[in-house]
Amino acid sequence: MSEGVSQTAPQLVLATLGGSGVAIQIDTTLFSVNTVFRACYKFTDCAYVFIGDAKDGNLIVTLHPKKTGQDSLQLAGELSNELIDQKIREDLAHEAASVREMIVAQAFAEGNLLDEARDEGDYRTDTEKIGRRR
Amino acid sequence: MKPETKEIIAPILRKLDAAASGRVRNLPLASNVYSISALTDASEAFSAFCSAQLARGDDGHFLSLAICEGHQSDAGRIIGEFLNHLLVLSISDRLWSDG
Repeated sequence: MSEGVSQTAPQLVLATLGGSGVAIQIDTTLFSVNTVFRACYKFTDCAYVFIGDAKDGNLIVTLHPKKTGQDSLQLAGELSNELIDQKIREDLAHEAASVREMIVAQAFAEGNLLDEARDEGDYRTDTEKIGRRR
Repeated sequence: MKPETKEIIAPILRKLDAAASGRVRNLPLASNVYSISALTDASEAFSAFCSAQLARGDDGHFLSLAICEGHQSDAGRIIGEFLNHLLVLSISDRLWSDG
């Protein structure tokens, strides 16, 4: 191990399961549960995924490849990269939230999403009381 | 990994290993990960292939799956797909609750 690297550095793969599966420990102080879900979702096409609670605040993700012969250690590495991808997406979404809400609000400002009668109503029923004497 | 963490997760890993061969008994499901509505919906969706039993524990729920007659040879795949479906439904629940 190179100098400066902690001897207690966390391992990527926690355990390899008998049936070619792999278990990975995820630190929830770094990645939110939502981030973990989004990352895991990407692997549901090629693996069976289970998210468990390690009781110490961390999560345990287990991956069982669907196809025999698929390298589960490679899947574990790809999941780790995907976690970073989703974490960055989450951070960017959070940073741009106010701008996005403003754009959406502006885009829908002319539409009446909550009051259909205002656009679709009949002038004879005069739901907005426009013809009322003031 | 801390020894106590190893002690806690070892049974989960053993149960999942057994799931690959089609047996799941009392698989612990963390309440902060999977919602009850996702569990009941997944059970409903897979009712033709397996029957799911849920039991409440102190800090979560336990899931047992029994594969129906005629699907025993596909048990590992059915349990795996059940877990994936549970994941998708939980994401859906989270999206709705986050607005």
